[in-house]
Amino acid sequence: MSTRSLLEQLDRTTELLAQSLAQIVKFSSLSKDSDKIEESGQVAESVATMATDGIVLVNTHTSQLIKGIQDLLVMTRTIREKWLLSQVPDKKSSQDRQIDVEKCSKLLEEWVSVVVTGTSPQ
Amino acid sequence: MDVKPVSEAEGVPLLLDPNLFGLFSKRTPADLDTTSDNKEQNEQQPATDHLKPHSSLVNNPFETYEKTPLDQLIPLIVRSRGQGFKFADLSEQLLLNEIEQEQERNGIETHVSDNDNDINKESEESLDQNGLPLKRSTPEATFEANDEHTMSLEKFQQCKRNTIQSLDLALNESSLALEFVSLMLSSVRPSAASASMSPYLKKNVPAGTLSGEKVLLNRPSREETLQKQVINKGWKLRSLEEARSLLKEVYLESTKTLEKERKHWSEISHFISNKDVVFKTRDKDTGERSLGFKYGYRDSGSSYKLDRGIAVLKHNALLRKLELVPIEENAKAVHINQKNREKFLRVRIFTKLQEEDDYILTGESDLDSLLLPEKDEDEEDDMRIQIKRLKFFIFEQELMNRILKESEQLFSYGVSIENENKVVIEFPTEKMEVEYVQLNDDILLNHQQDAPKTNDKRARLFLVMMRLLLVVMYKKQLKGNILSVQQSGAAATKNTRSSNASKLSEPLIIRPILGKIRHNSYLCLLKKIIKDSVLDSVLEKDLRISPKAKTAEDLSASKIFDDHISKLNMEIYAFDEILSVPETEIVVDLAKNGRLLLTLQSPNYCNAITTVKYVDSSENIHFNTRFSDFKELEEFLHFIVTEYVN
Repeated sequence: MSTRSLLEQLDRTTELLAQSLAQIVKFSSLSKDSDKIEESGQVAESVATMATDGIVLVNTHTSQLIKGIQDLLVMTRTIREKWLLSQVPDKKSSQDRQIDVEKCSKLLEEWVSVVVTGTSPQ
Repeated sequence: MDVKPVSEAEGVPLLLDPNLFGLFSKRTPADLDTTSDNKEQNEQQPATDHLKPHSSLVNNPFETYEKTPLDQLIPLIVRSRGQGFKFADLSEQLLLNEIEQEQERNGIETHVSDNDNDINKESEESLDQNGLPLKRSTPEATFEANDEHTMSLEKFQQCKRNTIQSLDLALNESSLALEFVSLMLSSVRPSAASASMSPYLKKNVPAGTLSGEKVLLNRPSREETLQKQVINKGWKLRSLEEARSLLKEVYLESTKTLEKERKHWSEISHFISNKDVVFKTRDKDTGERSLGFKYGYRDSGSSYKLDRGIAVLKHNALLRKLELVPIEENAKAVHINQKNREKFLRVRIFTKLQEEDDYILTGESDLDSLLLPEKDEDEEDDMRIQIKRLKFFIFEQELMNRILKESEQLFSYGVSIENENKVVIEFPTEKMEVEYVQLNDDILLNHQQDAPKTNDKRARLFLVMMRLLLVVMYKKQLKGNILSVQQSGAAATKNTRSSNASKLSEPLIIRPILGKIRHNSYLCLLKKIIKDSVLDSVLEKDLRISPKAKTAEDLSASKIFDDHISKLNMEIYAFDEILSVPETEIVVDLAKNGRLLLTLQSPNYCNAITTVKYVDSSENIHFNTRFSDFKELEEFLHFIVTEYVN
């Protein structure tokens, strides 16, 4: 997933979270609702329907909230994975080790003398 | 004017207004004719047809007049006559006159409208026969019948259709009106109304619904609304409470997951460096997405295919740490304990006892520090150690595999494969065992107890060299890979590639080491021969032994632009000392008798070919002979010494 699409997803998710939260707050307010009912003289049925509607809405928005947060968590995972998989080996450190051919051949001679003749060189 | 007497005869006995008479006489048949259904229609027809000139009273039903008492009838007549009329003035003569006038007017009308004598006559006749109901219906029929002369059948049918249609329409309208009235009535007198209601209406509309009663609006009481509000609030609170608990539950759950994941990733970031090969994969057991870790040496140039060297990074819930679980390629291996992979190479050197035909262990390579059980194991490095161990074991596995393959070809040089885990290299005075050993507790225990032996270092060096040579093989493979990639892009000569491939496929682990040792022993033998055959018999002499000068042709000759290749070349070249075919030059300086040049070569690492040249004092080369047999060489040297030197 590209950085751009990740950012877009982040935007989308945060917006969804904000909306869901706002909706929950809206439906959870008690005083305002009852005032409105008294003003308009609404009858009992509408109170009941509003109550049930409110419950359903709060429920859906809560699940949306949860889903949004889970999405965010998944996103962090994606980002971590991305970081892990797109690491570039450090070229410098691997190039630092220069091979000393002279020393190598010397060591090898030593090896030969030890292994073949069984005597360590003086 | 025979009309008059007839009308008089009919009209007079009834004592009625002649004006009304015409109407009533027409009404009678209508009444008799019709059933109650089309009463209204019949009422309409005469009104439109004949009663236009009369006053509004003509609409009154006949029965009413017949039955009305005289005291009511007279004022009615007076009223119908208009103002200023007195009942006393009404005489028979006057009435006759009026009737006559009426008749005349009707006659003119018929004349004007129809212009036909027959019709007129017929209509008069029909008027005459007022009382006969059956004949009353004839005028239309006769009219139509007469009309046939002038009217086409089509037109007649059209008229008929129109009439029927009008009748149907009127019937419908009247039924509707009846229904309406019935329905309205039903609220007051249900039984009476339901009698005249059609079944359809009865079935679909409840009685009394058209009554227009006023329904009282029941305003909810204060208490009721309060209760409703309380219920509403209760529901709301409950839903909020549910949402809260749901959120909390999910929060706790995801916190747990998050913590686990955080640990997982921090471990990964801590342990996995950017040199490791990590890739996305799917866990075969659980089907979960996970990260694969490659500990095999494929990317370093290994072409070993029996074990791909791939592990899955797993979080061990029991030990609460990250684990590497190697993926088994073949299904058979699943049952084998993971410990079975933990095998390593051990080199043992046995020295032959001089007197007996027996060997004694004089050297053993020690265990890699990685294999030792980690004391006070550092948790931080656990993962790294896991990786190292995995890498170590797969490396050893491959090394053994290569050694076995190589040993097959080296049978004639004292290399034998005892079993699939053991290779023995025999020399005149000693033998070396390369063993692929299972790591177990016994070995670990023995290792700690073992006393150091004389040849331990040699064994260790031998093992190290084998590993190094495998690395050199990797490098060659890598170089070949890079070159073939480059060459496949450019137009490459196939020869170099195929030669590359053949060179790469040949394992070179035991052979160079064996070659060195054998070369050394050849050299010893050669020296002995020289000593015996030349040195002992010549007085002035000088022996120089030198390994053949290295030629750095590889690096300088080919121009290499690629960084990687030049680096790889360098790395491979570093091992040239051991990888190059052993070659030793021996110069025996015989002072004024010239020089003896001997070159000991070991093509194929293990054979021995000696080239002998004799250069005399005047720098003439006399012989340039190659020997692969030391006996011949000895004889030849004898020959040279006796012929030229002495």
